[in-house]
Amino acid sequence: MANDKLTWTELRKAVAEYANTSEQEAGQFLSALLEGVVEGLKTDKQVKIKGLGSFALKAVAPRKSVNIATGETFTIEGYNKLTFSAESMLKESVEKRLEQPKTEALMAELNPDPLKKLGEQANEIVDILAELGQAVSKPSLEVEEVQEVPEVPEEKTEETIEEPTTIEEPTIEPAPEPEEEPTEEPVEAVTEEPVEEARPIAEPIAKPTCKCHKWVCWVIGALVLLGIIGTGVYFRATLAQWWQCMQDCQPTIEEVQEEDSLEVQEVTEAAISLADKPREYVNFIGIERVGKDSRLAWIAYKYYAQKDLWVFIYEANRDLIKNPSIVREGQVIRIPELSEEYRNLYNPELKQLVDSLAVEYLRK
Amino acid sequence: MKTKELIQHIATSGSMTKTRAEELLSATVAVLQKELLGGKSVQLQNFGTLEMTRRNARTVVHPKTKELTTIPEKMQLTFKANATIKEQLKNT
Repeated sequence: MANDKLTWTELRKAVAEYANTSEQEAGQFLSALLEGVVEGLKTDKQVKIKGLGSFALKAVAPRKSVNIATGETFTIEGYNKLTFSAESMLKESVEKRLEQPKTEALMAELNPDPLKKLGEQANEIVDILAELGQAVSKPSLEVEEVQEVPEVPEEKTEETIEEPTTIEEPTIEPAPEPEEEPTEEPVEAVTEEPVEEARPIAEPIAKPTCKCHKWVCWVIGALVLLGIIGTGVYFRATLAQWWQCMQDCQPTIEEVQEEDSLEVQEVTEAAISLADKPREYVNFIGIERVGKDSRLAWIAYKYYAQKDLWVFIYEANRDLIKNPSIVREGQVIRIPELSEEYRNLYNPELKQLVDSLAVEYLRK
Repeated sequence: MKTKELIQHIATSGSMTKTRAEELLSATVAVLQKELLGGKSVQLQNFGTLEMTRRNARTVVHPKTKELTTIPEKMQLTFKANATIKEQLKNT
């Protein structure tokens, strides 16, 4: 982040120095430059400066907003926004600025010398344990100390890999250790020491527990497997039952299917008869004098509210109308009375019949 | 408007030769670069401020897969326009 400001005068001075010119000229130039940029933005909406980047005018659409006090809506007008995007080379240089200072600071803070710290920690531990040893018993102390020292060089190598987590360790360790010392009973001291050993040896806390977990994990895995097999065995009886049932059930499914097919046949038989029934037009509900450009379909719509039923009108007047598409002006035709079953076009059978008749008649 | 056009404009309005304008422009750019990369915020009179800013790392969710991704920190060059220039260019 920028902490220092470079004022206009300072900039002018710096430019003058760089270009070996007077501050006055530098100032004139800078003003002219900015004026030029503004002009360029007004005309082209974009100004590119090589080595720096481009200034552009972007259009912002008008949007509705609410007056918080009164609650009434008002419109924020659209406007042009001045934006800047840096040149790619400069962008890269800027991005690099992120890594440099941060890396240095971080590294200095966190890991000056991991191995060194480890050595320090080891020394600390030895001192602490020496103190503890005085409170507990000497032989146990000696054993642990001996164990500790050879362990330290071994784990040094592992330590280097796990640097980030160890960072937290050194700060936490010294705190709990001095606390625990005075309050510990001899038994606890002995048992807790190996745990403390593991931690102060600057292995991450996670690791020693992971060591335990490794074989614990295997045990758990084995138990889970056993559990699955056990449940399988337990349910073997029921599983066998299910299997048999599946096999037994199949014939019943077939039976059901046969029954259904029988019913379907009956229904279709009934439907077929509707379409094939001979139609007779005995009663008539009216007559229609056909005008110019009249259509049978419109007449059907007028009398039956369904234009598709014109086929029946045609059938009733076959002696009068030769071609259903052409009905001569002045012709008088009779409108037959249609029963309910012939008017319900929601019946797919009837619909099919009407459509097929239409196709047949129009073909002629 | 390209850099060359800009130089042309400066030469005519600032009453100096094109070469001179070009020299001064490269000088200005060099100075700006140095100062900006040094972490300074540069104020341009009646125009705005150019400075290097840090964008903090953020966790984003992919809308389809719902997986969380961390976008790392980044340094950027930002420009904040002056009120005067904003007003001037508002309705061009």
